[in-house]
Amino acid sequence: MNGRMEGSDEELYRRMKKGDRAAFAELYERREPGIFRYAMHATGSPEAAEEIAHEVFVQLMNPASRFDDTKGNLEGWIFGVARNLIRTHRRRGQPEEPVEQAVTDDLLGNMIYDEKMATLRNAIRELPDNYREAVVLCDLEERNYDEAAQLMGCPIGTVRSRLHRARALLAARLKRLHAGMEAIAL
Amino acid sequence: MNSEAERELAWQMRRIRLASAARRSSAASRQSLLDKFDAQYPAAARRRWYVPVGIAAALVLSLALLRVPHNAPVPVPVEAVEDAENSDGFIAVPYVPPLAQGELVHVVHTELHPAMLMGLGVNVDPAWETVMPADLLVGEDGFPRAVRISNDDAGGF
Repeated sequence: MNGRMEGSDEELYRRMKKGDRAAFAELYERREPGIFRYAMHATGSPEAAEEIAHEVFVQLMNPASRFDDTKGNLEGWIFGVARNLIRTHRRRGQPEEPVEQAVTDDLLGNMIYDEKMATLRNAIRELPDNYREAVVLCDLEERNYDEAAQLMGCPIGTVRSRLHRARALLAARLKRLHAGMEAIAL
Repeated sequence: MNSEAERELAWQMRRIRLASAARRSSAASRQSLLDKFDAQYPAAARRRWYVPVGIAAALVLSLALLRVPHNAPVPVPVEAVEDAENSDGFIAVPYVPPLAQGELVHVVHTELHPAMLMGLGVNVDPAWETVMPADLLVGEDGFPRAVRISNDDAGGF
């Protein structure tokens, strides 16, 4: 888009519901990248992430699934829909294309790809849902605790504790990998 | 979690963050959603061209109306003038050329002296000297075709 529209997500949503195509396009530009990455980190598949992000916006424009701004903000609602879709995807146990394979398709991916990063990606995917959500929002999407708490629908203290435990699990995983690599080198 | 493990984790997180920062859905997915939106809200899609066309049409109509005089002539059938005495109280004026078929006429509200009314064929008391309210049915050529005493102030007649 050349010109960005002003206004809150909720205002854009109201305009979208009246048939304002530009408002819908602006909401998509604002929220789709975060939803896509969130889904990609959770599923490990760019294809699945695209499907999930697509479905989120289909539901957003669906008259049957009305967002109620008295119950929270629109971004929280969008993340909630994405979370449910991710759970459904994981329950189906669909085969996942490894993200690292997708990353090697581009130059940056080639430069930074290595075993540790691949291991960490897998470890993030294998975290319990609540832990993974905290890691993705705070460490990968760089949301502050307050924003993460709103999106996760829990108190800030809960975000902190989940993040602390998740980081400990991930560090332990990296440590085991490091030890294994040292053993091979010896 | 010791500090070395923390640093390693933070470093790897940063690399993942950088690797995924620019990733998003394809342009085809975006276009598909916009197409769905147009299907969902067809009125909105129509409105994109309908609004400017509608505004332009309204402007043209407004300009056309502004150019029309307020007491614009309206088409009155000739028969209406000929039978005016029986319908609207109009009395056909004698000795004037007949209206052409479809000729426009307009009603002029005025005040006429009794002598003038008599000249137009209205039977009034010649002793009456006060002007009287009257309606004239005037053709496009400016000639009155019919006349009637107006109801506005008929009490003095």
